[in-house]
Amino acid sequence: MKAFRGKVAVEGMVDGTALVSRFPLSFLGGVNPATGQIIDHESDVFGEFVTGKILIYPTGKGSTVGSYVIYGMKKVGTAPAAMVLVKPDPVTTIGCVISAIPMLHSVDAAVLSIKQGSRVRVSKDVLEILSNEARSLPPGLFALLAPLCLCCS
Amino acid sequence: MIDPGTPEKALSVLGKTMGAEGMVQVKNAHVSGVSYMNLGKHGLEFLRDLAKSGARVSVPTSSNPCGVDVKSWKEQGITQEFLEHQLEVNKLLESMGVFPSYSCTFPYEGPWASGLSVGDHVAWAESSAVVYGNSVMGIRTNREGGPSALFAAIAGKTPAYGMHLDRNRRPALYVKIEEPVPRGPLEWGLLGKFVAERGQARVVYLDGLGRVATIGELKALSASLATYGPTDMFLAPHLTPEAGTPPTGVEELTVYGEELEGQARQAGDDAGTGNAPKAMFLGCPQYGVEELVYLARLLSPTKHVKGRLYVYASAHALSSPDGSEAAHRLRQIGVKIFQGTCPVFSPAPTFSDGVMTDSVKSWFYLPGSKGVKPKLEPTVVAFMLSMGELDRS
Repeated sequence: MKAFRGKVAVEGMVDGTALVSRFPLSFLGGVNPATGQIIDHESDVFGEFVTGKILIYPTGKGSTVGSYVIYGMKKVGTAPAAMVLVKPDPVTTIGCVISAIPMLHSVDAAVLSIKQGSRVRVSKDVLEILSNEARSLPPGLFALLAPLCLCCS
Repeated sequence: MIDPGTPEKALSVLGKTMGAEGMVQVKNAHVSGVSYMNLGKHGLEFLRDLAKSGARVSVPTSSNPCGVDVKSWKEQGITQEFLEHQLEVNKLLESMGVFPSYSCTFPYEGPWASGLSVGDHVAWAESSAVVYGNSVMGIRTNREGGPSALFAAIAGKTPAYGMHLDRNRRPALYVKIEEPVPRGPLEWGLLGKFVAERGQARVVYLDGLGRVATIGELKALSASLATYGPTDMFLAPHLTPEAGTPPTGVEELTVYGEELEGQARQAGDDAGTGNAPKAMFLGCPQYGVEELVYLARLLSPTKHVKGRLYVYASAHALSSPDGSEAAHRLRQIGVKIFQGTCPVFSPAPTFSDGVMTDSVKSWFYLPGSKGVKPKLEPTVVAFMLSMGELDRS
C-alpha cells in the first residue's frame, strides 16, 4: 500500500475517490459552485465533478474570492471531501479553514500520478492509496458527455 | 455558521502553511472583494455568517471600491437587484466596523496615510496599493486576499512572511531605463507591464526614472507591476525610501524610454483614425486631487465635452476643497464623475461600443469583467482629437 506524507493545514480523516488535476485550479471561474463541476476549459479534468472527492492538485491560483466559493460549496454540499496540494496557497488554505475541509499540503509531486478514481484516504498528515482503480467513468462515455458539458457551461 | 475564533485560526494556519515567522501587529487594514460583481453570492453569504458571529475589526480598516456609485446608481444603469446585493455587502462590512471609503487609493492617498511611517506593517488587499505602499511609502504588506485582509482587520495582526521580512525586500532584478525618462501614466503603466512580465520578480530595482514623478505616474506604475506579474515592490533612487544603492549580482534588464514613448504615441495616432470609441474613462486607479486638478486645467472651461468622458475618483479626493472645485468645473463641461466605484468591477457602464483609457491595468481586467478590450490612449488630449474637438497640429 502506497502512502504520501504531507503537512496538515486542516486535520481530518476521510476516505474517498481521488480526482487528480495536473494543473493549478481556480475556484472562482474554474468550478461551478452549484454543481461542483470543473468548468475551466484549460483544465485536464474539465467536466469532472469535485463533489465528495479527494481533490489532488499542484496548487491553487486566481482570485482570493475563491476562498468564499469553497465556503459556499461546502454549504450547498458540492465541495470536495478533502484537498491535497503539492504547494499550499492562501486561497485554498483559507477556503479550507473557514469551510472545515481537511487539507494536506507540501506533498511530493509524485502524488499527481495517482490514477483517477483510485480509492484514497486522508488521515492526519498521510494520504494513503487504498486501491489503484481505473477511472469510474469509462473514457468512451466521457467523450460522449464532454460536448454536452460544453453546451451547458 | 462561523465560529468567532475562525479569523484568528485561519491566519494562524495560513502563517504555518506559508512558513511565517509568527505574527505581526498591523496598523491598519484594507479589504477587497467588495464589489458584488466579484464577491458574488458565496462571498455575500460568508459576510452574513461572519457578521452574525459577532466579528468586528480591531484596527482601522478601509474598503475597496464597490460595484456602484451609491449617489447616482440610476443613471449608471445598475439593476435594482444588483444594487440591493451591493448595499447589503456595504451594510455588513460597515456593521463590522469597516470604514466606507470604497476606494482603491484610500490606503495611500486617504487621511490615514500620514499616520504611517517607513517600516510599519499593514494588511492591504488591493494589489496596486500594495505596490505603492511597499515602494513609495516603505510600509510593509503582502498582497493580501479579500478574506485574509478581513481576518487581519479583525485579529489586528497578519502572518509575518513575504514582504514583512527584511530579507524579502531586496531586489531580484535590476532594470536600467535608458533616456528619455518615461512621461505620463500610460508610459509608466507600459513600463510596469514590461518589467513585471519579463522580470517575474517580487522586488525590482528601477534605475533611470529621474528625480521626480507625478502621483499619477507612480500609481500607474504600481498598478501595472501588480497586474502583470508577481511584483510587490519597486525600488527607485529619489522616489522610494528603501532604494539604497543599485543591486549587484542579480538579473538585469534594459528598457528604452524611446520604445515606451513609441508604444504610447502609436496608440495615440491610432485614435484619430477610423472607428475610435466615443467614450473614454480615466481613474483606474481612482483619481486623486492632483489628477482632478490637472484634468480641470487641461480642458477648456467653456467648451462642452463631445463624446462621453468618465472619471472615477475617490470620495476623499472629491471632498477636499481643491478636488471638489475641480470636479465642479469638470461636471460643468459634461464630464461624468463617479465616486466609490470602479470602471472594471461595476456592471455599468458596459462600454459595449468600445472605450479608451490611459490605464494599462484596466486593459488587462476589462476583457474578463466586461468582454471589452479598451483602447489605450496616452492622454485625454488624444480622445478630444478623435472627437474632432481639437485641431490636429
